Amino acid sequence: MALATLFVATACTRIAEPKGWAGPTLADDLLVASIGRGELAAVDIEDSSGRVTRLFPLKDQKHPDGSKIDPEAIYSTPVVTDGTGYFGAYDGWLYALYLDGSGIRWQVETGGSIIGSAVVQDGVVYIGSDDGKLHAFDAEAGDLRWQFKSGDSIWATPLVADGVVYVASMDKKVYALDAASGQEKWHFKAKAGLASTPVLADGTLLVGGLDSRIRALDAVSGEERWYFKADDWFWTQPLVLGNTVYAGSLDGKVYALDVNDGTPKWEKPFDTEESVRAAPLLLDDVLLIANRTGKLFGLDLENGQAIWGPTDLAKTVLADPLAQGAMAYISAQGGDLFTVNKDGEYKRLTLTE
Amino acid sequence: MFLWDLVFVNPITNALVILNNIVLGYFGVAIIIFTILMRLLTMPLTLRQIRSSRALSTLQPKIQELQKKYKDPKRRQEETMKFYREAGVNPLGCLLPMLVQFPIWIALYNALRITVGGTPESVIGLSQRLYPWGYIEQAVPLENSFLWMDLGQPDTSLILAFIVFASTYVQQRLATPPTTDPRTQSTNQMMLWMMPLMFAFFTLQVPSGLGVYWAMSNIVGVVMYYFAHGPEPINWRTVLLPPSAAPAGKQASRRGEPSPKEKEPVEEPAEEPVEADLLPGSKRKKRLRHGRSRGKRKDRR
Repeated sequence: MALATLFVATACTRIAEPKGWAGPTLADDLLVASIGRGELAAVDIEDSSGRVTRLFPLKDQKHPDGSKIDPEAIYSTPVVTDGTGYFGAYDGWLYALYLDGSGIRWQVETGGSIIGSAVVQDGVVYIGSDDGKLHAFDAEAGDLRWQFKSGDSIWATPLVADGVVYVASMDKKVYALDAASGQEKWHFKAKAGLASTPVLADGTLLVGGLDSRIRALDAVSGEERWYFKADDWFWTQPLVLGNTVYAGSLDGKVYALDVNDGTPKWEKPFDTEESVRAAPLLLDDVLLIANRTGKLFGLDLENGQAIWGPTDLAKTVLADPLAQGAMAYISAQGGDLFTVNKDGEYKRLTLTE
Repeated sequence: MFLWDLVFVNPITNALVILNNIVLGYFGVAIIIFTILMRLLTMPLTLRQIRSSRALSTLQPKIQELQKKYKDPKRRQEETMKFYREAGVNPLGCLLPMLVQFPIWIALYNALRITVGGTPESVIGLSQRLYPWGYIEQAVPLENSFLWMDLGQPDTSLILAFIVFASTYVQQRLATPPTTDPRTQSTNQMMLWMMPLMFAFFTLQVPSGLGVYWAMSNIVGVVMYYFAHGPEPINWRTVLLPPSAAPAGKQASRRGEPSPKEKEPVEEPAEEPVEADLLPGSKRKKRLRHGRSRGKRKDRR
C-alpha cells in the first residue's frame, strides 16, 4: 500500500521544469524567436521558405570555463541592437549573440536564473537576476559597470528612461536607480512581490504586482497616486494608450483604467476565462489579448467588447506578442510561432533549419 | 480533478502558505510543522492501524495452526475468518486507516509540488491555487532555501536521502509485526530494506521539500509508535540492528514483546473462545467478554 502511494505520488510529483516564455523580437527583416526550449533562431520574414538560422545554442558551445552551455530555458525576450542580440537564460548567464549565427559575442554569469529581459540603452545592458541584483554591463564587452542589490529575486524587465532605471523586485519594492551609477533614488514598498515590467506615462510609473494590484506611482518621488485591485496577480506589462492603461491579470480579466485616477473605463473588465500573462498589444485599432491557453481576442478599445475571438491557437501562450504593422507575432511555449492579423486570422509559421 | 483540487489540494496549499507566514517565511519550517499537524490529525487512524497490526501479529501462531489443519482452501478461509471474528480482530483493520490517509498524502504531495516548484510557470500555477486573501498573497514568492537545500530541487548532497532512508528503516522496523511464518518473514525482510531504499532513491528525484516531508513524517511516526507501544520499553539496540544480526528467536521480541512461541497458544476457536491475554486493548477484551457470554448462553441451552 505504501509502495503504491509512493509510486502514485512520485508519478504526480515530477520536478517542475522551466520551459521559458521568450517573446519574438524584430531587427529590420530578421525575426529572432524561440524555436524550442532554450533555443533561439533568426528567420528572414521576407523569405517565404521559413528557413531559420540557429543562433543559440550552437553545437559544442561552451562557457569560458570550458563547461557546456545548457540554458535550460529562456524567459528573456532578446533585445537586438547593432547586430547583437542580448538575452538572459535560466542558467543565469547573460548572452550577447551575433545575429548571423556565428556564435556568442560575449557571455557573463549572474548569480541566479534570469527571467526578465534585458534593456540596452546608451551602451549599457541592464538585466535583473534571481540573485536579487540588477546588473549593468557594458554592451560592447560585457564588463560590469555596477550592480544594485535588492532584497529578493528580480524577475521583471527594468525600464530605463531619462537617466533613471526603474525595476520591480520580488522583495515587494519598486526601485528608481540612477542609470549611470546604480545609486538608489527612491523605492516604494507594495504588499507582495512584483514581477511585472513597469511602464511610464507622463511622469506616472505604472506597475502591477502579486498583491493583485496595479499601481500608479509618481516617477520622481515614488509616492503612490492610486491603485486598482483585481481578483488575482498582475504579471503583464501594462499598455498605455492616451489616458488609458490596459492590463491583463492572472484572474483572466483585462482591465482598462484611467491613468490619472485608476477608475475603470469599461463597464466591466473583459473576461478571457484563463490567466493572462502576455502583455496586451495594439494592432491597428484593435487590442490584442492572448490568454494562457492560447485563446486570442480582439477587443474594442473604447468599450472592451470582443470584436472577434476567441481564436484558439491551442498552445500555451505566456510570452509578450510583437506588433509588426497590422500583424502580430506570437511565440507559444515549446517553440511554435504564429502570426495573427487584426481580424483574428492566424497562421502557424513553418520553420525549418 | 476540479473537486479533488477544491477539497484537498487547494486547502492544503493555502494552509502551507499561511504556516509559512506564521514562521516568518521559513518554508522548510512550515513543511515540518504542517507534517506534524497532519500526523497529529490522522493520529487516531495511525494508532488504530498500529493496534490492528499488533493484534494480528499475536494471532499468527493460531492462524498457522489453522492453515496446517485445514487443507481445503475454502474451509481454511472460513475457519480463519471465523477465528478473526471470535478474536474480535478485523484483518483489514490495519488497511482501512491507511486507505483513509491515502488521499491526504497524495494531496500533500501535490500541494508541495505546487508550492516549491520554483519555476516561473509553477509560480503562475500557484496563483490559481491561493485564496485571494491579502495575508496569503504577501507570502509570494516563497523562500525555497532551507538549511543546505533548495526545497524546489532534489537534494544531491545525499544527506536528506540518508535521513529518509534511516527514518523509514526505523519506522518500518518498529511497525512490522513479528511473525514466525518463514514466508512472511522473508517478505518482511525484503520490505524492510526495499522501502527505505526506494524512499531514499525517490528523495534524490523529487523536490527536497517532499524529502523533508517524508523524513519528518517518519520521525513523527516513530514517536507515535513509541507512545502507542505501551508500558514495555522498546529495545532500540535490536531495532537499529539489521534483523539478520539478531538471533532468529529474538526477532519477534525486538520491541520488548514476547515472541509468539513464548506466548500461551491460542485455543481452538471452534471449541473455546480466545484467551484474553492474546488480545491487546480494552476493545478486544470487551469483544471477548461478549464472546464468553455467548458461550454461556450456549451452555444454558
